[in-house]
Amino acid sequence: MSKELIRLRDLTMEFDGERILDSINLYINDHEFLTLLGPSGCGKTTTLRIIGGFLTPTSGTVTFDGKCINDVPPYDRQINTVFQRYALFPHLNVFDNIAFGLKVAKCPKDEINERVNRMLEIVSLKGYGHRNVASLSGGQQQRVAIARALVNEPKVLLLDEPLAALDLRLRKDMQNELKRIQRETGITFVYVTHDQEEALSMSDTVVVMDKGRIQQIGKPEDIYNEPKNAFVADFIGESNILDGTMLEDFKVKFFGRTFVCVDKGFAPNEPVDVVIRPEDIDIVAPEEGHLVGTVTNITFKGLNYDIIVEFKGFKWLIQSTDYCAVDSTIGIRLNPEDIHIMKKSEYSGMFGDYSSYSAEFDELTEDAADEEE
Amino acid sequence: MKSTNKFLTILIFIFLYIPMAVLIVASFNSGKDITRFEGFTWNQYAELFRDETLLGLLGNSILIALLSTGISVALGTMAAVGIHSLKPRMRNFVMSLTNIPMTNPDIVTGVSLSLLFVFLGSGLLGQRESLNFWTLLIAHVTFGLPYVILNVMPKMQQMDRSLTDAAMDLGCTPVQAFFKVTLHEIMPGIVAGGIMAFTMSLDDFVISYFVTGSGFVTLPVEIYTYTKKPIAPKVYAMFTLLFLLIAVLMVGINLMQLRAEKKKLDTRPVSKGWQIAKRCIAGALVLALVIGCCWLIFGQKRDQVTINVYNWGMNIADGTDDTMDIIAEFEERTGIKVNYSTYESNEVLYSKLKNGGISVDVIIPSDYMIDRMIAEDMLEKLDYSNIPNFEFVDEQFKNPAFDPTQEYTVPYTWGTVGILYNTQYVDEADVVSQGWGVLWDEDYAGKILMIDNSRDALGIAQLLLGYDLNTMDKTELQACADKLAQQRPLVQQYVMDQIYATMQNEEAWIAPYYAGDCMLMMEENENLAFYLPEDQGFNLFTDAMCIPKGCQEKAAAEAFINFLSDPEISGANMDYICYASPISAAKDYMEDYLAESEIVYPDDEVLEKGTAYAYLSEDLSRYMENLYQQATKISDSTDTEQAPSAVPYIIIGVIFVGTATVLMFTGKKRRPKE
Repeated sequence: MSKELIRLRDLTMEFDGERILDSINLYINDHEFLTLLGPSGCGKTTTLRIIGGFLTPTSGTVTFDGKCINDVPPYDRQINTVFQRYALFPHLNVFDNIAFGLKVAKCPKDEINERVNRMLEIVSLKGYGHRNVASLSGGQQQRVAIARALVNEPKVLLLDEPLAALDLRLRKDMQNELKRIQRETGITFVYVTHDQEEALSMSDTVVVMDKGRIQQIGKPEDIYNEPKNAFVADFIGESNILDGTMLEDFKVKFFGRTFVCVDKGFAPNEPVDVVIRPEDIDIVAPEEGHLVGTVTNITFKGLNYDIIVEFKGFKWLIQSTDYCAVDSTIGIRLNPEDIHIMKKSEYSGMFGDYSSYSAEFDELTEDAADEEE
Repeated sequence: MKSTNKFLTILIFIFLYIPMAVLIVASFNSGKDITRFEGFTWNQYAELFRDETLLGLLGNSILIALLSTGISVALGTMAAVGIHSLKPRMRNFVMSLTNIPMTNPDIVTGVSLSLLFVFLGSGLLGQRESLNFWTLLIAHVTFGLPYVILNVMPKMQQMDRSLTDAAMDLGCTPVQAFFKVTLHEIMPGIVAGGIMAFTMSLDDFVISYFVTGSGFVTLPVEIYTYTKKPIAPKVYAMFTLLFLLIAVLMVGINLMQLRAEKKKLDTRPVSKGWQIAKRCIAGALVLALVIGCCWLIFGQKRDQVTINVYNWGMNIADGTDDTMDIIAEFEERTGIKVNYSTYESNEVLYSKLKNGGISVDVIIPSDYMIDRMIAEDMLEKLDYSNIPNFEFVDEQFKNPAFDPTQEYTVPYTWGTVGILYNTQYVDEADVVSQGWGVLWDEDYAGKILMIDNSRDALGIAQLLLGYDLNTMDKTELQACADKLAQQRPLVQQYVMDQIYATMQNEEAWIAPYYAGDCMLMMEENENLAFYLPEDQGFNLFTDAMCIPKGCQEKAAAEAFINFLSDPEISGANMDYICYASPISAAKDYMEDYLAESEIVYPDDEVLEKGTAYAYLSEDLSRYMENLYQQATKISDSTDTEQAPSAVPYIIIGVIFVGTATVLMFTGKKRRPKE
């Protein structure tokens, strides 16, 4: 990849004695699409605001192109931001919103016209220049906000949950649009979201954060396939997480059975977390299965069924295109590459159990209870 | 139900706007009587625009309102931004602090500001005139500021904070971000706050009254001193214009807001013309402010001699009603600038001088007050060589009782107190035969007005009982008080200036009052007549010009006194104020009806029967005041005379309360139906 552009070193942030960020170390390369992913309150927006210059870290440094920029105010950074609720200036029309930064920088008028018009084209808003921003739809406002930031040709564009306010369909379109814009302009994007799907589909690099700490950094595929701990495994997609023991390299034991896996490098008999993705599980006839369980619930999800299967009192989620009747007994097979082993962490035991699966499930039991009465 | 609601709403609007409608109608009335509409005329407006004094005062008010609004808006906006950035608890605390001045009674604010300014100015800085334009401005900013903060704060809180972040992100420094973004967002609040501050400043009387000096007077403060005469119809015209101005302003702002709302959803381009127009309006306002400031700072010539003249309200000819504009004439002839302001009673003048804070060069108090001021060493001795026109003063007015050695005063006007009565209802024979006693005549019970000040009221009793007007015998005074107490059931009202309306409208028939004022009332209502009970005796009063201690421009002040003593000027002046001039030669320059009037100028032999008040001791003054209050003012609840006039108010009140109640109930009932 290309050269490093931004580096965060031991970044710590405290508000009123509460630690929001806990020694964040991260580098961002030029032309990269990097996503900070995590649940709300994990510190991702704080990190973004520190990069943007709106917050000063309690300790640690932010370097940009090799220079420390801790004390550089936002207006002197080659960084622009797309804010969560767009923050368009209501008193200006679309054109003037986009031209705002250029006017502040005292660009010649001709150049402003040219650059703004080109930007309007890039975000597919040609001919909207004179419109009042309040008269635009959410998606259009979003694109104005992106254009307003990009027109300044920043080195880095920070995006703070830019699609959160849009409906699903529009969000998908805008994801593609953003990716296209990023490719075309070659500008480094630092993107904040809590939507793991968004993060996986758009990013070059995903940074998973929780409780002010980075949990994992990696390519989307790696993050998904090789989650580092139970938190990441659960947050990125659905996961069944089980307690297991690593007998030796490539051999793991759980549910009283030994499975072949592709992981190694653990101490003999080390307790581990075993992750099995719901879509990796093959349903077979009971007699052919490694494990045999009872279907307790099935929900149609469009692409597949979410099937809850009980194995020895522990409920798994299985995603399959095949229908299985409730109370039927099924077998499952696990291939070595479907089993992912993680070291035990503070998150062990907190995630990956589908015993209380979903809202629908809860409702069903309530209904059943009602009927009994 | 709906139509009832509509009807009641209309009723409320009528209730709210009827006073303004009456004023507007009155401003177009060709007659002077407010109770009769005699025809449509623009004359009041024409006269208004000819009256430079009034326009000047209006200008003063508008100038101070604009300046104080400008400063309040600037400071208030800064304060709001600052307060907004505080932590919530601190913010609430500071907000309640800024709200207190708004709820504080004006009179408390006014007095405390006045004390502060006098303390700082006179006490610490040794200023000659600590109350002036700037103190007035500061005071107006003081009460305008909270309104601006109160209106801007919610806008600050409503504003999306990321807007300023976005501006900074796009290259604005915090200051640029404020002007380019925040300011636009909070502008509605600033405008609303500014308008409130402007209107509060424009109509403020109470605070202004306490903090303004003699040099700069606003319209409300001046209008208050106009009570000596009925308010001239041209003032109605001015109020109508003011009301319309404010109404247009409010409607305009509402329309602008509506337009802005619409514009937000409009997909058409914003018209360039409108933007240019908006810029022009803003520019014009700023320009007006700058010009106003410049005028204030550079407009008044520094090297010009200026004197401050402090006179009774409406006690000098001002160019209206075809009279001479005395002050303009003086300024033109001598090049001396006159700052003219007014007071409404001797006592007000006395306390303003005693309290300090104002600097005055010429005052025109009445006889007994001059006596007191000389006794308290408040007056300068005059240099009569600078007042050659003193020679025109009639011998009988030289060496008066209040200035026996003729060192301090030059007489300005004089007059008598007599009986004004309505010939339609009152038998002239009764008046002549009973003299002052007619005021005790039970035939006219309920139609008698009595003069409402202790000295004149007790004086009338003294004359009736045959005592000396300046008696210091407390048993005699007690007898007079008993006499007044006897009269109380017969008296409709105790009045001073209200006498104009009541007598002209014929609500009352008999009243004792000052001859000059009686002349003015007789001009308005031909049924009125004046009688001076010469055989019983009467009060002969004099107002004289003096120079108070602390005067800085004594020579110029003496030049002014000299000018007013010129027979020609004095004559022209009397045409307006209708009192008698102590300069007989002035009669040649007066209108004949005045010069020949026996009311204004009784015969010398009659005059000899009159007595001037002398200043008694402070103790005795207080004693007389107490006697007078006890005899006349202790109200008894069985005062049936007051009842009829209260009826309309009670009816209106009942309608109002009823309307509100009905509205409340209908509001409640409708909900379940829906």
